[in-house]
Amino acid sequence: MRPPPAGWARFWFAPTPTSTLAVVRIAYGIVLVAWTLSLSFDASPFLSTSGLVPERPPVPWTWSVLDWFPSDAAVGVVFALLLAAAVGVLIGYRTRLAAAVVVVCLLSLHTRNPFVINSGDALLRVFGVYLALAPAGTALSVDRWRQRPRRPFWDFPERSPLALRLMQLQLSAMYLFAVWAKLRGTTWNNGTAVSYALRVEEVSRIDLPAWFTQSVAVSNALTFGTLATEVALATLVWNRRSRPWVLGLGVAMHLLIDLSITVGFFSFVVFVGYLAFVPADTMSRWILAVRDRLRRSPLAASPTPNPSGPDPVPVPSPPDTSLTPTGEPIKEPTRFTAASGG
Amino acid sequence: MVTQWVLSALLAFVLAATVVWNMPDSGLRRGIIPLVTPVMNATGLHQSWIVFAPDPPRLTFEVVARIDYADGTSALWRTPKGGALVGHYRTYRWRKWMESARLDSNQDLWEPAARWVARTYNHEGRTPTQVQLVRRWRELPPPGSTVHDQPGREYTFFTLSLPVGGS
Repeated sequence: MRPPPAGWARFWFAPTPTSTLAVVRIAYGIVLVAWTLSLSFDASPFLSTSGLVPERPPVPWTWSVLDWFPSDAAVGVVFALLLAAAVGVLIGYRTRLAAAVVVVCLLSLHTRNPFVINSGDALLRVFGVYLALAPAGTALSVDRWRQRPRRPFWDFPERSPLALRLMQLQLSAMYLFAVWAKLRGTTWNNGTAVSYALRVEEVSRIDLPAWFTQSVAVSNALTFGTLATEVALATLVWNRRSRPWVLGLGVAMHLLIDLSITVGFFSFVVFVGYLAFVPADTMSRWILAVRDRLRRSPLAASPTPNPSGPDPVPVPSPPDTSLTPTGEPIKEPTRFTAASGG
Repeated sequence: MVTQWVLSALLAFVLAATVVWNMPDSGLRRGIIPLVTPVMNATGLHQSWIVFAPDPPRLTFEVVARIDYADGTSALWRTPKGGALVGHYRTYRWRKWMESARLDSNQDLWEPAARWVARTYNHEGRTPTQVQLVRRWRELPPPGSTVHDQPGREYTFFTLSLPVGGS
């Protein structure tokens, strides 16, 4: 049998250091913990059998564990499980199991009451599915820490970047289809859309002055600027040289959206996705720079042995014999040291 | 090798399904969507990226509940709106609920909402006898318009009458 085309195989399966995946996992865990806690305040009206939506809407092919346990106590159990699993993903403890539980719980809650779910919540769920497919606990995790001293903590073994690729493509698709949908309207074509969006009182986070929100020039600039930024985020982000600039534009755009409009966790979930675009070598350097800075801090000065395990350079570790999704043994763990600069 | 081919097939399916799922309505989409819906819905990959698309709302609106009590008094319930710093990360979901609850196509939401309001505000010795769900809206003038304040309007779209002593 011939292998898949080389470019395709390299894109999806070429072993890559797991530093980026680890940071994406941690960032995702932070956002997910916050999301779960924020929903817990309104669990009764949104999810209970005596709430605003007493029964799950019958959407074909959707499911929820609350179908099998339709009680308020079960809602509490799902919340507790989700919170525990979110912390598990954050710290990387039994990461695969935690990520799978996250997906089941998120899906169960989202389908139980889809009327309170926005695009950011959907993106959180989709990213959860992708993370559950990934060896997300390979680096910077309790799972890794428990393997000391057999395997040093500050290593980023190589694995298939499949999940990160899915996240990247998901973000590109999101922007592409968002622009496509907007161009079918009127206000995005005549440059007035952002003016309307900023004046919808129910979603406004801060009171912007009328001269700003009702200015034709400002609205035109922001409307067409949004479309241009979204097109760039869907396309130019794949060019290594333009990527930092495009992602910077995206961060600025989503920060402005988050500051002016109540979109929940949307911007933060998008930022998690942006991290997936950081090259693994760059992310490894950043992580080790943070590690070295922490070690130099006065708080870290201690005569006790380094609790995070031996430094990677002087201590050889056995080759990681785990398998990639391709079924082939992975290469020797990639090592990065501050001295070598990655 | 076989694993790579199997994974490649799955990835190609997910990518194609994502594209079809997000396409505008068309004959092609209507033809393919039944094939991908089971996988997308069951796995949680269903999605929609139409924030403020194709157009943002050209009106500002809310859904409120007017509660009449047995003692002749009344009260107005409005959805919670959190503080600008942190609170809105909780209450954005109420806005999402309002977006759906105001629509005639979601009439199934109305009675449970009215009953929830009646139960929640049945306290301090006051018993609700009627809950009305009301849409309130105000049209937004185009940017650059000299007209700044449109008059607000409201419409009672659902009334729930309750026997005294029960909800």
